[in-house]
This record gives sequence, structure tokens and C-alpha cells, in this order.
Amino acid sequence: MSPSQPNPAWFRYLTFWRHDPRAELDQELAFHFEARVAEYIASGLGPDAARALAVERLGDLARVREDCQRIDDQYARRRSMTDALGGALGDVRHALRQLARQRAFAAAAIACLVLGIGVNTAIFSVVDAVLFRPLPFRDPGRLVMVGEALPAISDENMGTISTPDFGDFAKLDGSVFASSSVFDATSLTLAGGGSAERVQGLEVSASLFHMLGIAPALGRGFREGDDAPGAPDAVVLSDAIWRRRFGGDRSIVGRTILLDGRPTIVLGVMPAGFSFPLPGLGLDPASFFVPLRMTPDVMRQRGNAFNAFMIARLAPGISAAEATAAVNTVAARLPSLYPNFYSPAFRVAAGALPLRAHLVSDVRRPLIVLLGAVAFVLLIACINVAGLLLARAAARSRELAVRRALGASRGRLVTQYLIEGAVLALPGAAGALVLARWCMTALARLAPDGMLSGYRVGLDARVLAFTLGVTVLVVVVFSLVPALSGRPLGLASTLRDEGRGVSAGRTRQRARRVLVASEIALALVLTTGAGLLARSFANVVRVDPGFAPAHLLSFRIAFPPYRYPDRGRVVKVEEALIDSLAHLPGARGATAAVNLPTLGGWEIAFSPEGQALPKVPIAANFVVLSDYFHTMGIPVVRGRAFDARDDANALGVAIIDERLARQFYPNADPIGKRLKWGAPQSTDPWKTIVGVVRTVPQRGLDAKSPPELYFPAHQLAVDSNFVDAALRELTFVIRTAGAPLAFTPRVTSVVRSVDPQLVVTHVQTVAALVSQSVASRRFDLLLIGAFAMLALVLAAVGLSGLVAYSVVQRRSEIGVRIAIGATRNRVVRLVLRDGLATAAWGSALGLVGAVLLTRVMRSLLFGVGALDIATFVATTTVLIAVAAFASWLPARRAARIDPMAAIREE
Amino acid sequence: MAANTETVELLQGTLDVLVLKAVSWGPAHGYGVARWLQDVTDDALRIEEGSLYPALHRLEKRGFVDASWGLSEHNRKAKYYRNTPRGRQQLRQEASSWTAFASAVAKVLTSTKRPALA
Repeated sequence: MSPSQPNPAWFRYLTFWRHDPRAELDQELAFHFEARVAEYIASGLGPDAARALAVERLGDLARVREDCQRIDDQYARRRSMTDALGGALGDVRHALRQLARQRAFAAAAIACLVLGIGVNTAIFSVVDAVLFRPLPFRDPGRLVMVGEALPAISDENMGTISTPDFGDFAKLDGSVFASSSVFDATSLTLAGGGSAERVQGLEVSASLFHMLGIAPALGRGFREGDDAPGAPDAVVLSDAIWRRRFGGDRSIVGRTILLDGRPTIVLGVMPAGFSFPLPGLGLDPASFFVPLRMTPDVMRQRGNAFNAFMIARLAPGISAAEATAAVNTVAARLPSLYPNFYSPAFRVAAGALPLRAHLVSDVRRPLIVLLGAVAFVLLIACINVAGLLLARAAARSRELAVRRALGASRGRLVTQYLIEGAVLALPGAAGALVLARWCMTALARLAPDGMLSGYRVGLDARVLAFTLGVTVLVVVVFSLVPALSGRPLGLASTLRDEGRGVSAGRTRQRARRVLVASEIALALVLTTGAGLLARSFANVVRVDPGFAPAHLLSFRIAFPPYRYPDRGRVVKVEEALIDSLAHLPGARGATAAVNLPTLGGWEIAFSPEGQALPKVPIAANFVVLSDYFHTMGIPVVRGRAFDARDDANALGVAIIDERLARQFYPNADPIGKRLKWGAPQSTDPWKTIVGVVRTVPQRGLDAKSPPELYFPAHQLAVDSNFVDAALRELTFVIRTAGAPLAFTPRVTSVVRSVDPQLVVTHVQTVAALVSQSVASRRFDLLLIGAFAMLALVLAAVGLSGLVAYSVVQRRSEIGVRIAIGATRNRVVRLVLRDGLATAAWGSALGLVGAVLLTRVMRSLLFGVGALDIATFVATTTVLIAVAAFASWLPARRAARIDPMAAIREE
Repeated sequence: MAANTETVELLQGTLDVLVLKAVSWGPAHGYGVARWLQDVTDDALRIEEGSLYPALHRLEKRGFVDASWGLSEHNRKAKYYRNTPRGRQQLRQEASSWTAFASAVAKVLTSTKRPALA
């Protein structure tokens, strides 16, 4: 045969009866020698002389043999490689033929892979973007977030700083930091070229873009001096607002637009992929960037408001720990440097945390749990495929036994299994990528607001490598399980088994049973996890919000300084608006506040009069306007609500919640007691407590919130930009008779009639706002729940397949049982018992797994322990019920077996 | 066999082309190749017959000849070699370059022209 042509498939068995190549060479040389001797004898020489001459003529035989041997060996090596390749191609053809013949099997296996790998790829792409991939900035590993802490209140780093302190930290530039920047949220009214709108943005130091290593796509970024007090007003737009509001007009650069009534020059437009700040800071992605200027107004806020974010790039060779030590030293000097702002008794600390760690601290655990859950789904899907392959291997045991008898090595059969696995996995992986794309779109839509904004989630080389890696792993694992399971059966025993028609390879069936049991175990762990999350979610939404969110419409209105220059008049205008809103037909009440319950927000330190406390306590600070408690439906449990008496000239008053009353006035009536903002040394005026109200969870339904303080807006001293800004952008709430959102047009027209330049934003029902506080919890539950369902279905399919297969194998046995009088019910019970026994083993295993694994979810749970008995019992019951149903389908078929036909088949 | 005292040494590398030519007439075993070479050269090339076999195996390895077992004229099992299409192509190439080489050498040796430099 010619080595240039592929060998036929039977060639590889030839080795077993082909002669030893050494013997062949000897035979070849012997023929030559004898032919020569015969020729010499024919020409008249004696036999001995003829032999001697022939030997001489042949030459050095030993060398000839050695040379030929070497050449033949090289040839054989090369030929065995061609042979292997030809074999592999043959296996691919063989596998394709097999699949074409078993379409149902192929479809089931590929569907399992598509589901398993597809959802894994999608989740991985999200987790990779948020947790693993470098942040989308230059050398992001060197970026740190600097935050201050006030140990008198709490040792916890606030993650933010007081804006003026940035000047002190920035002195570390050149030694500890390569550069540093500060930014703060702001919002502005954008007028001109269409209706006025209120847009969220950032005030940033001029160095920010350069430090992040992101240059504008158009125009320029800020330069040193742009953020100096008195420099001309300038703005850099985000790509999103440039496209939406300015139609992507490239000539915008250099033009002047109106921001809060001030002509502002557009310096540049940031690139499309740049979304800043990233989620995790509690800020919306900015639509615009304006310079943060250290004006005297800003400098007065030192030590008073801690609402700025500082990012710095570490200098070469400096670690985050060294930076923490350095900023801490700077912070410790602040009270002595600025005694007018920091009371000398007040200690200030600071720390520098790697930016990534800071951003993902809240989402890391949920994402890891998600990745784990989805890995379980993949495992179950793979086990299903392995189970299908095992069943098929059993059906083909005769073919395999014959091939082994013909001398196919175990290695060759393993290769064949691997190739069959690959033939299944490749279309599976292709389908998975399609599914993954679809899932990513769905995920982006489902994800809580802003969870993924700014991260590059998508199919890229890393995600593709992940899919490929998973696929290869899957192929290897599930191909080898059937190949290695079971002892190598002798030809005789297999053929005998086949002949007798009893279970061919009970070992295989046992292996499959183990697989299905572990599948059920995995499904139980997932279902239990989902059950715990579901119970947590139910507990969260059952939390008493302390007020009546139904029938409340909320919206925000800003009263910018360019329209309302007089600080003192802002609240009066707002009160007038509340009055108009309250008199709308169908309105049951209207109010406004700096922030609403469950959404987090303003927290202050406070000091109750006459109490020496180890730490200055903090409270949620609700600054409210008229009729707040009535409109919100917050019951006043003692004393009174604020009313018209509590105006700017009256004695300062406060209302506390029940928790604060219990905590600070456990044995006394709090009414008439006094407290004030800040530490005991602060010069803030005393406020007298006039009422106690029901507690509302300020940081969200599921979060541990500080106790609450309420103050009337009229009595707030507008002594800083911070307070001024807070009072200028209020959330209004209106209680309606009908559907809240139907009120929107009436609200807008009332607002227009007050001032056509006012912009109504964030129109939402309060119920929707409250549910936003559980958005990420809902997202986790939705995904884990979906994965648990998927796992349950896949495990049920696996179990059903196992039981169906054993019914086929026990067909004649069941036939005999029916023939000798077993009732159909009895047959059903027999088969059910078979399936349920496997399910029971799996469940037992799964419960152990659940006990071990659900503890990683502890931080995601609410009002339920990781070892909640009720959840464990419920999920196990569900699982057993599903298992019973999955076994009942084949059991019903078993009961319908025609005994005569079944026995005749023998 | 008639012993011939006037023999020449075989030039390095020419054995392969001789073997290719020998098997170009049809399937031949190693002994057949040896006999044919002996006959057409009147045994002028004193070939150590053993060395034919490494050459044959080498050619087989390179895909220039095919080998298969068959029966000899005297009904004995023998290994037969035959040219492959690649072998025939190789033979054509080698033969033409050999002829060119031989005629070049002949021109030199038969030249009567005196070198200009001498």
C-alpha cells in the first residue's frame, strides 16, 4: 500500500497478524541468497563454493540488516502517525454517522450543552467584566480611593472626604501619589436648544481625565487652571448626552451652552465607552463634567460635609498600605491645622483602598454565588450528557467488545470517545455562544440600575477562551466517564449478556445511577440556595416600611440659584408649590423632603443633651417640609407632627423615631428633651423634641439603618453650599386618590404655572422607589431561581432517562411479572421505587452539600438562617415530587408492556 | 558467473537512480534488480549486493517505490518492488541531471584546449 494514501479503517487491526518486520527482512535476504546460490550451482559450482561466493557477493550482511532496520523503523513511526490521523478522521465520520442515526440522543445532548455552557458564558462575561477584568482605565491596578473616617463617630472609612481636605491630601502628589483627583456629584439645568432639562454630572478636578488615562474623543479635557476659582465656566460632555441632546454635532466644541443659566464653553466630548463614575459609589453615570473649584464657599464646608470622592494614582513603588499610612498622617494633622472646622478633640483618620476592591465590595459576593450556581447548572448538564453517552455505550457494548477483541487498545477506544464527545460539544459550544449573547442582552436589561454601566460586558477573546476552556473540559470529562466506567468486560461475558437479553453491563447502569444521584444532589443544593433567597426576599418585602407607599407619586424639582438667587426664599417658593399641589383635584396631600425613606442619603452626627456617650451617634437626617408625616402616612406615636408654628423664628424643634427614643431615652419621655447636630462640642443650636414617629428603614428595607431624626426645612440654617444645594433640589410627594402616575400631567402643569423654567425629573411612584431598594436582591433571586429551575428540569430529565432505560432493559422481566399476575399498579410501584431510590440517595447527598455550601450565601440572606429547616424540608419535598413525576412517566410505559410480546422477544 | 577483473567503483549516490531504473520495467525483487544491473553493465559495476536492500528500503520510505509480497518464478515468496508515479518522476529528473553531469565531465576530459592561465 502507498503511504501517501490514507489507510483504510481496517488497516490498524493488521498489525496483529502482520509479520514481524525483522523476520520479513531476513526472508527477503534469504530469498536473494538462495536465488544466487541456485544460479551459481546451475553454472557448475559445487554447493559449498556457490555459498561462499554468494556470501562474498552480498557483502557485510550485519551492516545491511542494521541499515534496513533503521530505515524501516523511521518509516514505521511516520506511518503510525498517518495511521492515527486516518483513524481520528475515521472516528469523526463514525461519530457523525452515529449522531445522524440517533437524532433524539444528539438533540438532547446538544441542548444540555447549549443550556449549560450558554448561561455559564453569559454569567462569566458579567463576572469577568465586574470582578476580574482590569477597570477600563490606564493601569487601573495603581488607582486607590481615599476616604476619611471620624473615629469619634465610627472607625469605618466613609469612602468619601470633605472636599477642602483634598488640598491637604494632594500635597502627597509626587511622593506617595503620582497624581490625585477629587470629584463630587452635581446637577445642573441645561437650557437652550429644546426644553430645559436637569442633568446629573460631576464636578471634577482638572487632573481627573489625565489621571485615569482617558482622553476626550473630541476637543480637549481640563487643563491645570481650568479649576482655579474665577476661571471661565467650562464643561466636558459625555458621549451619551452629546448624542442625545446635541445630535452628535461635532461643531459643539468651542460653542457656549447655558448651564444653570450661565454661558459655559464646551471644551470637549468624552469617548463613547467612557462611563464614569463606575457603579459602586452610589452615583449615576455623569452626563457632563465641570471643574470643581475650591471657592471660599466650598472651603467653609471642611469637616462639615463628607461628600467628595478622591481617587489617586499611587507613585511607583508605593503600596496601598503605605498610602494609607501617609494619608492617615495627613488626616491626623487636620484638627490642629483647622481648629475652626475640626474641634481639636475630634480625631480624623484616612485610608487608601484599591479602587476595584472599593467599587465591588457590595457585588462581589452575589456575583461569586451566581457564578457558582451557574457552574452547578453546567455540571448537571454535563452529567446528563455523560448519562446519555453511558446509555449509548451500554447499547453499543457489543460493538465495543468486538473491537476490543480485534485488538483495539483501551487508548484507542478512549480516543474514539473523546472524538464523539467533541462532535457533540462543538455544535453545543456554537449554540451556547448564540444563547450567551441573548442572555447578556437580557442580563443587561434585568440588572439593577447602573450595576453594569461602564463595564465592558460582552463576547470578547476572554469570554470566548472561557467558553472554549469549558467546552474542552466538558468533552474530556463526559467522554471519559463512559469510557472508563465499568470494568473492561471480556468479549465472552458481553456477548453472553447480549444473548441472554439481560442488562448489558450492569456496571454501566450503576455508573449512570451514581451520575443521576449526583445530579439530583446538585439540583437540591441549588434549589435550597434559591429557596433561601426566596424566603429572604419574602421577608424583605414583608418588612414594615413604616409608612404607606401606595398611592404616592414622587418627583424631583430643582430650584437653581440663577432663577432663585435668594437662599432664604427657596423654601418659601417650595412651600407655595406644595400648597398648589395639595389643592389639585384628587390630591390627598402633598409634601417635600430632602430625601425619601429606603433610598439612603443624608446622615448626621448628633448629640443628645446631658448624655456622655463613648461615640458620637449618627442618625438618618430627614429635612422635611409641610405635611410630611400625614402625606407619607407615617404614624405619629407620641407628641405632635411639625406644623405652621415651627417657622424660622420659632424655637428649633425635632421629631425622632421610635428606635431613637428607645435607644437614647429608654426610661423617660423624650418629648421636651433637647439634642443638636454634631459632636457635644458643636456650636449648633439645640432642638427640642416635639414628637416620636414610627421607624422607617432609611437605607432600604433590608439594610441596618441608623435611627432617624426629622427637622423642619424652615428652621435649617442655610450656612453652607451643601445645605443650600440640598434644599434647592427636593423630592416632592403627592398622595393621590387614583393611580399615582396618572397625576403626572396635572403635576407638570402646576409646576409650569409657578415657573416655566422649573424641570420635573425622576417622576416615579414611591412604591417603585421602595422596590428599587430591593432591586439587586430581586435580580439575584431571579437568576438563582432560574438556574435552580433549570437544574431541576435537567435533573428530572436525567432521572427520567435513567428509569426509562432500566425499564427497557427489564422489559422481559416485567413482562414475566405481568404474565404471572402482577397488577399494573404493582409494576408502576416497582419502577417508581427504582427512580425514587436514586432520588433519595441524591437528596441525602444534596442535603449534605447544601449544609456545607449555603453558608457562603449567609451575607445575602435576610431574616432566615443558612440552615433554615423549613427551606431544606420544602426544597427536598419539591425535589422528591419532581423525581416521582420523572419516574412516573416511564413507569406508566412499563405498566403498558404487553407481556406476550415482551417474553416472545427473548 | 564470469568474473570480470575490470570493475569500477560506484559513485556515491548513484545506486538509488540505478535501482529506480531497474524497477521501472515492472515489479522486481531485490535479486532481480541485482541480476539486471549485472547483465546490462556486464558486471562492470561491482555492486555489493547487500547494499541494494538499504537502498530499496530507503526508496520505499521516500515513496518512490511500492513493495508487496508475491510469488517468484519458482513459486517462492519474494518481496516485489515497483515504481510509484513519484518514483518515475524522480527517475526522469535524476537521469537527465546524470546525463548532463556525465557529458560535462566527458567534455573536460576529452578537451584539447590549453588553459589560458597556464
